[in-house]
Amino acid sequence: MMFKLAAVAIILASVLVLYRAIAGPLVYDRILAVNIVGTKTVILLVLIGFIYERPFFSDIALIYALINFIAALAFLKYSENGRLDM
Amino acid sequence: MEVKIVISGILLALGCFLMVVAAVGLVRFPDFYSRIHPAGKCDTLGQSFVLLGLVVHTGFSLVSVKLLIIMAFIYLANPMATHFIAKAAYRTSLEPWEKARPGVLLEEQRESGEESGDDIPLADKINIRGIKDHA
Repeated sequence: MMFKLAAVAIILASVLVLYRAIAGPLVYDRILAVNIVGTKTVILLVLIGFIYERPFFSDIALIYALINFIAALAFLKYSENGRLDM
Repeated sequence: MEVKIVISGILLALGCFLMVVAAVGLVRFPDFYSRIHPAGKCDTLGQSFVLLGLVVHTGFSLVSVKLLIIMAFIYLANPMATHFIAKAAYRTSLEPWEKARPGVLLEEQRESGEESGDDIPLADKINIRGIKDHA
């Protein structure tokens, strides 16, 4: 029950952040919002693993945290240079 | 047994509160540079509180070690990502937001030569968005 309440609160927070990702006036607002949604997704994956009593979902959450960080850096590089291989 | 569940529940509630606060700050703040502030701080602390609550609930096992690894990584990577986003925005010469004071002209008004008459209400003088469109 505790984990379900926490998951609902985090989903509500990520819906609020998605508003900024859609309506953000700059591309940097959108990258920031996507980064925050990714962090909340990591927490949500761990919580889903605890809700369904499969705590080894934390492996997926670890991989998603790594991918999220690399994705933010790649988006920034692309938006700054227009290409990725430099 | 009971004490463990109570402590983990308190930590989970604190973390969820901080995450919702970060989301509200990201929606409500007027400027990009001020939006970095809840994104970098509240979200990092919120995730570490939630994961600490789960670690307390699990006890010492392989799963809790993995959760601590996730916590340490996000604790390092999230402020670094917001720092890089702020650096990229600063390189494109994005100007910070300034709140209009009565009697002081905004930059657009200064450029267009418009006088700030006293008949304009204060709410119209406050620059809501404050940033130029860089698209």
